[in-house]
Amino acid sequence: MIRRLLLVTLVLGLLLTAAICLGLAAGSTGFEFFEIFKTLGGGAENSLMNDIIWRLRFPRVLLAALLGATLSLGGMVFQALLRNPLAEPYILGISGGSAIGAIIGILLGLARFPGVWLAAFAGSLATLAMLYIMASGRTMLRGNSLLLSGVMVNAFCSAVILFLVSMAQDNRLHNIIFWLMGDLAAATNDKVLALALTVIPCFGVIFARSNALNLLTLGNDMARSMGVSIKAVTSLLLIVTSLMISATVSYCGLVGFVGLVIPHMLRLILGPDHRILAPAAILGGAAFMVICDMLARTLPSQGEMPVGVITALIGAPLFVYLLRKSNK
Amino acid sequence: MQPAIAVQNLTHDFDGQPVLQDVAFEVEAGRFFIIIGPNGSGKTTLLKLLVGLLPLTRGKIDLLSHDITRYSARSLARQIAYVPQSVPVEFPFSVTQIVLMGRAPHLGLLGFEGEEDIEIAHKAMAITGVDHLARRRLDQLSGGEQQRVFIARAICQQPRILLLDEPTAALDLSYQVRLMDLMERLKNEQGVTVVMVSHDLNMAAMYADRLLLLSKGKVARLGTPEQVIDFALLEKVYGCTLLVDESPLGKYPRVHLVPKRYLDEYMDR
Repeated sequence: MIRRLLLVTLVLGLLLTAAICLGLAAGSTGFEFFEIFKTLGGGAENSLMNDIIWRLRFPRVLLAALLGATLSLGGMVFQALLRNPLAEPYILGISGGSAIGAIIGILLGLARFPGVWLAAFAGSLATLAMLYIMASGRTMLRGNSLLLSGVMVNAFCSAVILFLVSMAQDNRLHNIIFWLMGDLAAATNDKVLALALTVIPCFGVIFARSNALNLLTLGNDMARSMGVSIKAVTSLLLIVTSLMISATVSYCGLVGFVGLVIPHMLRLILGPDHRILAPAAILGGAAFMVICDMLARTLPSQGEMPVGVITALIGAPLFVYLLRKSNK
Repeated sequence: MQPAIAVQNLTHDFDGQPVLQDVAFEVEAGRFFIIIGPNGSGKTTLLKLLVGLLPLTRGKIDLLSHDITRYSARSLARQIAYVPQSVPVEFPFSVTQIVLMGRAPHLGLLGFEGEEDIEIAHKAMAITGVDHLARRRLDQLSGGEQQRVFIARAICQQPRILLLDEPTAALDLSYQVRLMDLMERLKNEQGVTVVMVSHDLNMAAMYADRLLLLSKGKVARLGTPEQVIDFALLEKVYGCTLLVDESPLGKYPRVHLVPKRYLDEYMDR
């Protein structure tokens, strides 16, 4: 058990390291592996290259890694809690709710941290509450009604976002459409540090409750009869997950499908045990997003595209394929 | 001897409709206790109240001499295990993984099983006859096999009280009798108190130390099989014609259903 955990962590850790090296090396003029090793080794004479790597690419790659890890782990938690492999913060509208909060925060002129983030957190909690009321009362965890409610909440959130954007005519919303599709361009080391300090403790809480997630997939009655305090654990996990998701939304905007595809893929390879799946989702999601961001930077001949475009282009077809395969 | 379960004045409503009314009984430790009664008589509700899955509104339940409301979910799960009628399985867990989940209330903070836990799980799988399925995915097994896996999971929890809701319903004849024998063995060898809901009156009569007959949420009778399997009482409670004689195996009352054509013939005469 523990040996398997270590093995999975090691393999995916190496994968993430490779992805990060690739991400650091990728620039507008191609890949510069040689320079990377020289710079990382501390032996670079070229101070411009040093700056580009440490001030521009390094924070950006780490931001992508944190974003991917958070979304993937968040998707995994929602799938287990709702006992539905199709659940994901983006699809449920939790991300959309955070985005509304974040936009209101930006319009009010709040600082990115902690103002906009808290507004985004409030937005995600409001969406959760709305979902709760719509899926109504007794058991908020009943799969299908909740997923359908999520689709509606998501449509409503998108409408509110576009409404706010078209009404505002505000310079501060200049890049909002770009941000909505996932924007990693504005990464700095300070931002990355603040985000890391927010989401990494959340990872810890979720990992510590990963066996409870296993039991919860058998239903509340079974979980409770095996000693899980349903209300306490479920609300803790929902709040922690919303907290970390809203933090990434306020920094990076809306990026979909990562939370759907990565946990699903890892579950097919590693099985459904969340004690293995949680660290795997963190490392795998991070590696996936670093690669997606690298593609978003290098594919366009001019400028770059939002990373959400890449995740959706890879994620949606892959998901349909996986779904067909698992149904056979 | 202290009773394993003591229930007093238990009343439970669902959406304003009374499901259980003023139910009271005791189960002595290390006994096989079977709850019988028609559909909708409140058997499953009673079982769920006993394992703390429904909030206790009126009445009192003592488990192993402590009020059930004083237990935490975890400490309760160390004393009592529950096998529901069916469990929806959405994720592709293997049989071993499901059975090991029974160790959850005994594990530390991170919830990783040790060698000892794995050995307990293997023993539980062996005595329920699912060890050959250990590596298979649970959602690819038949209903009866899944049922046995969940019974292995409950045994792996090493409870002092084991609650089962119609565990034999999905099993073929051979596994029905093997399951009942296994429950008897757990009772005799480890002193586990077994509480079971069953529709099979003949099986209940042959294995139970005590029977509880529920009717419309009330206790219709509580006693030994000879006291409870009484044809006048059962005909009244179940609302059909029955015949009770004695099993050729011994002093167990045996219930027969009477088809309508026999009754029609009898009336014609």
